[in-house]
Amino acid sequence: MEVVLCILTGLIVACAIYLMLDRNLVKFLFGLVLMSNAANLILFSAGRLTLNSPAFIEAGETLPPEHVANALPQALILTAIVISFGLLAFSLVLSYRAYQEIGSVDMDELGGNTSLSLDADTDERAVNNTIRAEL
Amino acid sequence: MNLTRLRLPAHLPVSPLAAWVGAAISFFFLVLLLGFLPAVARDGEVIRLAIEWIPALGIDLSFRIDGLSLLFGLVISFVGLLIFVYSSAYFRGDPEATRILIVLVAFMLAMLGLVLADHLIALFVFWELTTITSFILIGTRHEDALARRNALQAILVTAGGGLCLMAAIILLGEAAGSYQLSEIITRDLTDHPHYSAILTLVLLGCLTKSALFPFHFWLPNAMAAPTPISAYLHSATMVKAGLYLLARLHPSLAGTDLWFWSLAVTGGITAVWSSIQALKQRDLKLMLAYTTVMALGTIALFLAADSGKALMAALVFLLVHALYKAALFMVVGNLDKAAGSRDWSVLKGLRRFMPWTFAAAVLAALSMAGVPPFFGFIGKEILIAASLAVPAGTFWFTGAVVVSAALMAGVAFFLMTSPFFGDRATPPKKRLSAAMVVPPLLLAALGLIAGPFASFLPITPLLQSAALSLSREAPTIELTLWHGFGPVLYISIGILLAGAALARFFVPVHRVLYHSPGKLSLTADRVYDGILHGLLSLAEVLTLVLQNGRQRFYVMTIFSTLVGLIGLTALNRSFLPPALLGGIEGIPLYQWILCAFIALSVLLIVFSHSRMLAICALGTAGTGIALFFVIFSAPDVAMTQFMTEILVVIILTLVTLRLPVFHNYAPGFGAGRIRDAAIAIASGVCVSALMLSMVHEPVDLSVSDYYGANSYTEAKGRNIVNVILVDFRAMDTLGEIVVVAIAGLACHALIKLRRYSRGQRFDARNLP
Repeated sequence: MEVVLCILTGLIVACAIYLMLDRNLVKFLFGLVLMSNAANLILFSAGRLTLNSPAFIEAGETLPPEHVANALPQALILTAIVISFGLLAFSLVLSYRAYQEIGSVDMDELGGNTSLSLDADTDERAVNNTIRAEL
Repeated sequence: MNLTRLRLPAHLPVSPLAAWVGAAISFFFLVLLLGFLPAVARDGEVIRLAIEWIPALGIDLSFRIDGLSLLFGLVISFVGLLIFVYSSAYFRGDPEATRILIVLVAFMLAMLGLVLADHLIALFVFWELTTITSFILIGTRHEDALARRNALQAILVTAGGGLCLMAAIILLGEAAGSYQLSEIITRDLTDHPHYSAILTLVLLGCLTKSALFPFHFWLPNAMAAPTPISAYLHSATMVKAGLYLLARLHPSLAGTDLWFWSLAVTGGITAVWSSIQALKQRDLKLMLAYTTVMALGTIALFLAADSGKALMAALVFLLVHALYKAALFMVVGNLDKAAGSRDWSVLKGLRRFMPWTFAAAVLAALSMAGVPPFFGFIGKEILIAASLAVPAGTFWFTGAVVVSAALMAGVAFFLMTSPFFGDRATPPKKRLSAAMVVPPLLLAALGLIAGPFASFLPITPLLQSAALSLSREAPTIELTLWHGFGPVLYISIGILLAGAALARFFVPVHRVLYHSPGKLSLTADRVYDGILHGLLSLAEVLTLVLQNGRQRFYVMTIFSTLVGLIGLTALNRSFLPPALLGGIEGIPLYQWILCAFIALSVLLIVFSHSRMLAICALGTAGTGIALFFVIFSAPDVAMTQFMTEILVVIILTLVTLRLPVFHNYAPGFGAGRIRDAAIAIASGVCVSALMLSMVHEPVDLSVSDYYGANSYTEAKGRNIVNVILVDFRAMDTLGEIVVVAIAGLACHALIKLRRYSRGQRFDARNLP
């Protein structure tokens, strides 16, 4: 089953990156969610897959049974899920605010110098003027 | 502490206290080192002193006083003493004086540490300290853009060399098996496999520090510093640090053709080239700077050789130079202070107004020219004799010495006559105090005394024990004025005559050189500028290309790099994912269905044209993954995944509905999207391949087993995953909670911000 999981994860990663390269900000956010899921699956496969044997210690025992599921990656994934949820929430609000300010969800309109200028001075001055105008 | 706060009011022309503190410190070291003179110079003892510094790394602050260290230490402390006395008058009333002089004291201590250190790491630390203090001192007049530029140039060149030196020190220490100089100089490293690398790096460090060709350009520019600093750092002491290290490592590294020719060529070119440059200058200080570079080149030239005679010649010349050059710098400083100029075409007839400065100039210049009975004469005779005795490259050595010495003699005669003779109606503006006249006079007079009495003073045994530190062959040279008739004497007389002729026709020669159409357009200074400018432009282009502010470009760069690196590694290791089919036998149907369900959901997100459909597909994909966790024994993970998946769908729906409808900004499937798809597919393939190779390897369960074994016995918990989270890695979980809390706060703040900015621009003052 690990082999199938590897290929499935590869597919999810490919889709996530394709979405993250889209000019639409919303699609980028979808890609972010998928990427977090793919990362969790990679962690999970690193601990190997175990069928029907959760990492519990039976009542009356002090040690888990033989061939119990690997608990360490599961603990890591739990942390990762929560963190990525926080990341997603923040990115969503940030995107929403960006849309309110700029009026577009086109990634290429959100920022970046459209033409490469070697004249740093004028660039800097332009940036400073923009900042001054903003304030 | 802000050192500038210490400055004295500008209207009070008091001499700075710091100068006298510096003088006291240098006097202390002078007496201390003189105390070692009998033991070291006469009995040939080596005194060691070690203080533990970083014992864990085997680094200690050890010092070693042998002939060579003592020679340098005495020069540093003696010239330092005179320079501080001189500074007390030179910087009188200067608001920056205290700041400058404190750095100067720091420099002197670092320099003493450099020449006395035994451990290479300690030596390196002192070495870099001299570089940094030199940078501060060159940039003393930091309101001047040129001074800033020159200070930056000096530190870039010397600190760049310092980096090479650090590499050299590590190689040297590993090759010799010890970082103590006392140990290293007993080993002959010329057969070591890393010899060429060590030598190249050492040379880079020393040539940059001592301003030797092709790194000579920074020293004349360093003359932006006030005159006492130029006299001390950039003539008598710091620029000799490179030569000191070359001399110090001479026993271990010298004796090969590589050592011989690299130093001989560099030294020879430096000596001749900079003597010619000296003739082109109008600024007396710059002229002196070029003659300093010439002296450094000459000393390097003689360090190339392996004979006791040549090494002795290098050391004698070093001492001669330290005596007359610092004195001449102070003379130029006096001219500058009194007459307000350093341009020789302006300064005329100052003899009557500044008799003592004139006397110092004459004494120092005669020693520089090598007129008997001055010490400079002995120095030059020894140079000529040694150059005639060099086994290889005699012509090169003698030629370089004769040409540069003749030019130097010309410059020296010119220096002692041009500013002082001629007509001048008005006396100079200022009178000089005794503190500005006595130090140069004293130094120059020493050059006169040392000549005839060289055999009586402890100079000879000191120089001999210094030479003994360089080479096992004991030099048997008598420092006397009269060696009898012979080629050495005739060459010496020839040099003096040529020098006198040059001084007579100095102005026309200068004019020819100054206006020569063949003025090289490609000077080292311009090469430096070009390199620096190129570096900055490169950084600018790289920043503009890589940091262009486009999110998509960043994503693209990151994943292309990932694919490239993984692909290269895979190709290099001829890596192939292990056989695929072995793992897929016996997978139950329900698992296949689950995987297909996830895969279809994910593809649906990509190809959907509806926001809601995509969000639903995102939810089903997440749920499928949660089911996957359920099947493979991870109930806690599955539960969390279900919960967050529900929240994600709800929040995404809420936010996305407020965003504009799903607009396709790049309709169709153009070249851009094909490129994106290629990067995405390649990354996916790389991730799959990496995972396949990972699961192919045996798994290490030692950490998991530890948690399993101790979960109940130590933490009294039966759910191992939970125990790991709340007990074994509780601090991690706390950190995670903090991250989520901060994300929540940040979201809140972002939404709040909107309220304040509605209808008006954001202003922090409006916040509650």
